Amino acid sequence: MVYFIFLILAGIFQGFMVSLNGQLGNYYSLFGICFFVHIIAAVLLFLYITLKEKKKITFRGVPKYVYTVGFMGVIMVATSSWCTLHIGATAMLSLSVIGQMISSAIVDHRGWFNATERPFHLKQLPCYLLVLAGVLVVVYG
Amino acid sequence: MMFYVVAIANGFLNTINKMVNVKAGECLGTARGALINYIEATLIAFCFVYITGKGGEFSLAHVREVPFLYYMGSICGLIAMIFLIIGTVKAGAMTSTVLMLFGQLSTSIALDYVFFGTFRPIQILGIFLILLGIAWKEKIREKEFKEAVLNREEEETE
Repeated sequence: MVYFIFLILAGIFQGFMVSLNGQLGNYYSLFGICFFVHIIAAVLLFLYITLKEKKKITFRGVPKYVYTVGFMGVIMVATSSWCTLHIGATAMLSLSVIGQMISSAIVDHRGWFNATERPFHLKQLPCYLLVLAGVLVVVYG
Repeated sequence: MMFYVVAIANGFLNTINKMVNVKAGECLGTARGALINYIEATLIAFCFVYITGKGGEFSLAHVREVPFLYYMGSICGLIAMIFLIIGTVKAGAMTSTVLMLFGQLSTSIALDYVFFGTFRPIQILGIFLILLGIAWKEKIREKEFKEAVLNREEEETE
């Protein structure tokens, strides 16, 4: 039971994160928001790795495409903050869920990024339609 | 309309970003895998702020003007990550996805009310439908996974 509470708390804190980042948009440009969001997390993680894990920090030995994570992080924070400011966090998160579901299905179907290939079956379609209906109710209801 | 399309595209990018982050975690360890993301993004964002002529945003006076609470977004993100890691250990994929989404969307409704003064009760129905759809999808996936494992075991015994 306690693990369920942890998971709900994880969601609650993520909701706070999206909303608070969106509020920064009232004071900073999109890239300004990205800067503050990432630098605070970077400093905390840096302290954790050096003080708690006591590990040397090195970024060698990764495939080249891994170095694109920073670009993706900037685009994701910028777009989510921009959308949250205009359509609200609930609509932003709901629409993002449908995007995540479709893209996950494509990745699984194709087996991209070394993921186990899991073909898309038509019997899954009603689940997607149900989520889509929910998103439409959240956005237009 | 533009915002809706961008929000969906954000979800697409989120999936790809997760896959790349998993790879970074495999090669560097979870913490260092996340750190590479944050350091790169910090540097890129810093450069873009100056390229777009908004360097004034970094003045101490402006930074102080912003309520302290608003800077706490990334700390909330880190706390969420810790809770997620602890929670997912015991709960299955379906339970963790649905419970996390439940927490995320209910908080968003509450905070939209706090920050924008908007609340539409029908949104609760929408969230319920989203959670139901996700739970259903995960149930099918779990069933397919179990069937695949059983088939593999049968093939191996033959």
